Amino acid sequence: MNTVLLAVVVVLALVLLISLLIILSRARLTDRLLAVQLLGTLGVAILLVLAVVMQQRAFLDTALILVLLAVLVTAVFTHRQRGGKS
Amino acid sequence: MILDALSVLLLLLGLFFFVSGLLGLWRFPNTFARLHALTKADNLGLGLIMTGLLFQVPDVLWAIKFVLVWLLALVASAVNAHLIAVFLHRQQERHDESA
Repeated sequence: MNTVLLAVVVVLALVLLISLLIILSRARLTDRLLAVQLLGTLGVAILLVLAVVMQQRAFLDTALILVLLAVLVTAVFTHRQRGGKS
Repeated sequence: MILDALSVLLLLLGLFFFVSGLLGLWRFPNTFARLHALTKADNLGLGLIMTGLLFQVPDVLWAIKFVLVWLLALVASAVNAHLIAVFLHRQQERHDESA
């Protein structure tokens, strides 16, 4: 079963790599933010699978924090672009 | 054995949704369409992968935490999509006014 889970991690990492390339290739801020959102979700998925493979519960806490930080990025950027005061 | 097969099936389905979200992000023509493709596909992918992993966890506390992570991801993604959509809408309105 662990082999299957590690294969899943590899595929997820490939998707993550491609979405990083998409971030680099896009000019508009919103497209980049969307790709960052995909990065966040992919990171969470990878951490969940790794938590089961390695039997480490700490990965789950990391996943929770990653979810929170991924949404903060969008909040900060859209606020700044609108000309809001920090 | 049956549980293993079930979780492999769910994990593969989850991967499929992640890949289709990536394709949507890559190929769709405008940002609203990309927003539409991504915010649904990647949460469904995460949910399916999470459900697949639920059959492999050692105890109930793990399972509860898995579900909590997914629920938080759902809320976060809804907020994210809303912020981006409002931002885009405002940008377009400003563009229409100046034109």
